[in-house]
Amino acid sequence: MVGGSRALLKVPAANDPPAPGAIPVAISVDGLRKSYGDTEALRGITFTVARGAIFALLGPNGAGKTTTVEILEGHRRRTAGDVSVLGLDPEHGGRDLRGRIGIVLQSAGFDRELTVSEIVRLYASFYGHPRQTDEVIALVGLDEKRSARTKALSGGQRRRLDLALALIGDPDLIFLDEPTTGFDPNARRHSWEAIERLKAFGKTIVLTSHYLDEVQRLADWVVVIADGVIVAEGSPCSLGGRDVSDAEIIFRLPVGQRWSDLPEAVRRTASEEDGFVVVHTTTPTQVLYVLTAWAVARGSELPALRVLRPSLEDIYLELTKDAAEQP
Amino acid sequence: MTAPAPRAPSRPSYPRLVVTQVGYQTLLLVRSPAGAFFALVMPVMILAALEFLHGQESIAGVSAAQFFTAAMIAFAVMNAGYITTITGTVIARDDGILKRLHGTPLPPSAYFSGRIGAAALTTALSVLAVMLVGLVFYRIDIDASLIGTTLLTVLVGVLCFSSVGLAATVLVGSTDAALPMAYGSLLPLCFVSDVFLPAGGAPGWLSIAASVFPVKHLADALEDIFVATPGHAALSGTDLLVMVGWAIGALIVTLLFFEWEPRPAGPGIRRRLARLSTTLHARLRHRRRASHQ
Repeated sequence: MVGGSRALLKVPAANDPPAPGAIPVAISVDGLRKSYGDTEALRGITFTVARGAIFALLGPNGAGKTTTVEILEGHRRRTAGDVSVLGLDPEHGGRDLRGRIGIVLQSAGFDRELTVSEIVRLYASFYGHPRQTDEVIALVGLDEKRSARTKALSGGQRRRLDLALALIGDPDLIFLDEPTTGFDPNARRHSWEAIERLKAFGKTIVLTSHYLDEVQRLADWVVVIADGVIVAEGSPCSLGGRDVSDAEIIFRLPVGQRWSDLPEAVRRTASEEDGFVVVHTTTPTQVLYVLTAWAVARGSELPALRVLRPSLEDIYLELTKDAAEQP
Repeated sequence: MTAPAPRAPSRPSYPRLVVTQVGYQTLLLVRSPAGAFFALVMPVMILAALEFLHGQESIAGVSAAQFFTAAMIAFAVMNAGYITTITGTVIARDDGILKRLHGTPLPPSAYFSGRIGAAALTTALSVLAVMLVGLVFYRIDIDASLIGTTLLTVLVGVLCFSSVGLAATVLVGSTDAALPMAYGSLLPLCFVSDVFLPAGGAPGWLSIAASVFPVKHLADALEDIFVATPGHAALSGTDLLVMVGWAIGALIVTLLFFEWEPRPAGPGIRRRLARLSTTLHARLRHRRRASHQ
């Protein structure tokens, strides 16, 4: 199933030779390990990030998300494994690599006494081909704060300045470590729109998050990491077999109908819970066909009819629970 | 924004990077109230206080003002060089500003040069203030032919003290500890190194110990210029060489050990020293690996 979704998304395998002049893979990671003393934070992680995709690393706190991202950014050294970011090893990529990536750290401050436009201009000076300062400030929606000192910015405004500083060098690849943590719903929606705009510009985006709705909305591909290992990967819709797992069909018996009136095919897999009939099935289309034909033949509605799939949250909790129970 | 077109890697020139960094660091220093106070106000304030207390005396055969002006120029160099470099750098490190910078193509050496250059600019302002106060209020004599020697000595001094400041950040655990550790290391040396008063009565071992450190050499070099009779060899080669030696040593320590990431709260100095050896080991191994590739 995972292989099928991969083909659908055209994510190339890590061992495909890159075509000359156009590298289709932005990041490839193979057997990545990281130890701090005796603690193994990452225990052999393998994935690839397609160019132009939004790739999400999802997992509970302490799972190894930030460690992974900081190894890709060149902030940390790995203990073992192969890592390639835009065709370069982040440990040795140096200025060439750092000139092509933009980083939004989970928490990083600003010089308090500089204004927004001063600090954006300062960061522009590090790059060969920076974007226009005003354009980037407008993109993140800080026009009105252009002359404000950074110490006067609100939390959300600081996060937008974070993004501006990551974008000023016109990077091909952008790392966003928990970009909307602590945002109100409105600010999150604005942020998501900004991130979707970046994707439309052809940027590759790697984001970490523990918000499932964020991942559902933004990501093309999700890797779920728990306790230093990958426990699942896939598109948000197919993650953990979400698209093919059991569906639940739930309804009330129509007035005047009894349990024994239900068609045999439905009754076999049905149970009664709190006055609802609940059918667990891997073939919801066929069950619904039989069920609705039965109801229509009796001239009645199926009250409160719903078809449920496990939510991304159900799948996520299930996946990370399993990993936590492993020794 | 448009889709990224393939482009030749191009970079801003190194001198431009350094000039931008110097401008930015200087702006930060003069805008931050603490930085401006320590670098620009404090030496003048202490000069006025010393002059008020000892103004009628004569020291080493010249007026006290003459001696104290030289001493406070030295103190200005140490404040703008050493103290503000330590506090500014540690604050930037603990706020995550350095980590963010380290993720950009800015070369580390350009950042260090920016710090040192900004310290030199601020020192120039501070020295100018001390000399003006000395000239206007206390009528000190400055031999015009010695201006060049003074400038050279101040320049070597600020290079030395800001480099030592950068290296010292390796030992400072947190923003809270920066100022106490900076003055805690500087002031005792000032007292045994002829900065506030000539240490004529100090025991011999103490002045020998003091002569290891650059504080005494900067103070002596400047006092030679201001106190000596005109015509006397004012340029003290040995003093300058010792300061250059400290600068080189400090820059080596900085290149090997400098940290760009905020410290996790509270490791004691012993654990910090243990971590330094791990860092050194890892960096040397990393260099070796890089040179093989």
